[in-house]
Amino acid sequence: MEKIRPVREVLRELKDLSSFAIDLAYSSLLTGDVELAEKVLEIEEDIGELYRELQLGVLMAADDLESAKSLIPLLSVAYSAREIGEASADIAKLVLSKTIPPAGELLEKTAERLFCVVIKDDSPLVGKNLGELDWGANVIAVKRQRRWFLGPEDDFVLREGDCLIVEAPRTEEVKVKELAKGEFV
Amino acid sequence: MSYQSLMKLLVDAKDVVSLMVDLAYSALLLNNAEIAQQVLSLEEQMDQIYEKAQKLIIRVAMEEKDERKAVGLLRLLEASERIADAATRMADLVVRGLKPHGVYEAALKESEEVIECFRVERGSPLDGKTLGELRVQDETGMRIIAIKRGDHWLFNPRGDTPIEDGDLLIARGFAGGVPLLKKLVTKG
Repeated sequence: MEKIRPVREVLRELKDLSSFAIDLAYSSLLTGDVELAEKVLEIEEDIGELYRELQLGVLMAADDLESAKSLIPLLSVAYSAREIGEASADIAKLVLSKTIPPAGELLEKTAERLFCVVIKDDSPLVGKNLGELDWGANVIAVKRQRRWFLGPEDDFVLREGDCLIVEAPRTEEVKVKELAKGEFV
Repeated sequence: MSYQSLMKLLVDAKDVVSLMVDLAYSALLLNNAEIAQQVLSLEEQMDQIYEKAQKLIIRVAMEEKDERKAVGLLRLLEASERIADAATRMADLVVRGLKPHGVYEAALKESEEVIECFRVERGSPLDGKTLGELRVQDETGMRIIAIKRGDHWLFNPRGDTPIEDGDLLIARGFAGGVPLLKKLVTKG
């Protein structure tokens, strides 16, 4: 039988992911970063699944009219979170279709930017924990298979195939990407 | 020129809607109607941006004779508006006192990141000082992400931003930092 997670846990993930989707969507818009925009579409799908999971959890939790009534606002919150995910995906699609040119001039003022890197098997980063890394970059999220880890702690150990959303000065971007690929000497 | 001021406006819209969403979730988490009210206030801000941006987009389209870009920009504006609406609906639940089933408060731990509003009292430690002078972030672990003065919003204030009594500070940080920041805005 399919296992239902606690509604609280699902709601928390919905909240965190939808908030994160906005950041990524606008970041991809500023830089015109296609990979980042694609991540936003992935997040939209993940949010859709969480939404379904939450609906199930709520339906299972209602055992009489009163409890059903008190659960309605929860559905409303989940619906709003899904809306946010969809709207963020709409923004990302504008980046992917190259309908809007990146706001280059504005970007010059922000020295930091977000981008994603995938850890390849011969990267020196495999097996390292985030606290050990001294590479002038801040890992703000990791996607491992189907699961997102937002704001990973220092003891988070990197594995091959992890997709990292990194915030780093523009000057460090190439170095970070090379490290992830394992081409850095 | 219009294009640049338009992009600036759209980036402002980003600050407004992100804050709206974060505040709305915090209002739910803390079941706090005051925070929820700020979401509604930001919605008005967003409405103004929306109107201005619409006009600018039309101007850009005429100047550059680029309909495709203009349609894209309108879609972007529309998406921002949708996010703002979603945040407003969530805040509305709190304002109307429909708290979602107690799932939220029960989940709040010391380690949880929250967003809270703090009103600066006259004669409090922060009154007339800058954020940097009192090293607010180092001392409390809370980061001030926006300041509301009258009807005016200032996003991502810098360390040298002077704080006045009556300012509403929007701060993000761990729940444990709330009483520390509270102390800085309260007359001793």
